[in-house]
Amino acid sequence: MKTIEDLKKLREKLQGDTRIRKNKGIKIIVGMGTCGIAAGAREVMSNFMDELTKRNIGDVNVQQTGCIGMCEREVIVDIVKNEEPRITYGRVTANDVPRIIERHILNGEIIEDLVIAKSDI
Amino acid sequence: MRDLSLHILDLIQNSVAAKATTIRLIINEQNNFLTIIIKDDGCGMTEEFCNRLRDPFTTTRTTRKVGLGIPLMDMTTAQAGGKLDIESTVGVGTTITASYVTSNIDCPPLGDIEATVRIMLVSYSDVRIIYEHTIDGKKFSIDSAEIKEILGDEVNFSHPEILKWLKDFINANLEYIRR
Repeated sequence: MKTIEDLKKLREKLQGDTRIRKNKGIKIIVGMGTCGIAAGAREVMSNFMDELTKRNIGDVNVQQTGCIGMCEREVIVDIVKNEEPRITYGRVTANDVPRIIERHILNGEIIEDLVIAKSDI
Repeated sequence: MRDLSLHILDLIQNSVAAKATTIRLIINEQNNFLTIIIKDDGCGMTEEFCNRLRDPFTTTRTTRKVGLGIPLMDMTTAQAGGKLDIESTVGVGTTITASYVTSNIDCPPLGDIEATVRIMLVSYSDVRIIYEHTIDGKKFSIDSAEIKEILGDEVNFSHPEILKWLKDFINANLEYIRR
């Protein structure tokens, strides 16, 4: 799967995939300011992408945000699920990614030892 | 920042904050020279602001009082016998050109440019990202507008199979130009 032609074939195949029609709106937002990047945000973000690929999870959007003023707690990751409070995890490392995916994204369980904030939106 | 592709990821954020609709990342490696150009069509900066940009206490952000992106990049270029040029016009955009002498012992490695580019394409999906990388005359380019046109409105960049394709596509092409 390495060429533009492959991408065109992929698109045809995916059109029948119902999950892509307006997904459930789960968002993973990684802090990518200078502070976040210096603390390892790229590895965290890249691991999220790899883990979503590996587990074939198709209803999640990966996004980034800038510095939110809590530089010392980077890497900061927000998980936003529809109609649930926004959960903010702090000092996330690349190694934390599989358990965030497995426990929070898939099973809806908040990982208490990583949480730094909960807020209603 | 351990490598140059982390600096790139960091500086792209400035372009996004400047409301750029198109960001071009051009990397050229030839002999002992490496040039990184980041060109955006964001809001641009005044000459006065540009002149203060290398000072860490210059920032537009409100969440903290220091801005380290440009000062850090300025430092790495100076240490590696290169330089950092900033050209900006209000209402037109900004072009940052960082040049390095790669044979210099203090020149940081380019690092994981694949991850940087993939993250740019996926997480800045509202911005058109064009990446061109040339090594000794061999060129690879990817344009997010072209990918978007193929995918249409229904399939987005965060789909697991698209994420996989992006990674494989970028890696395969980098391998080709590095050969």
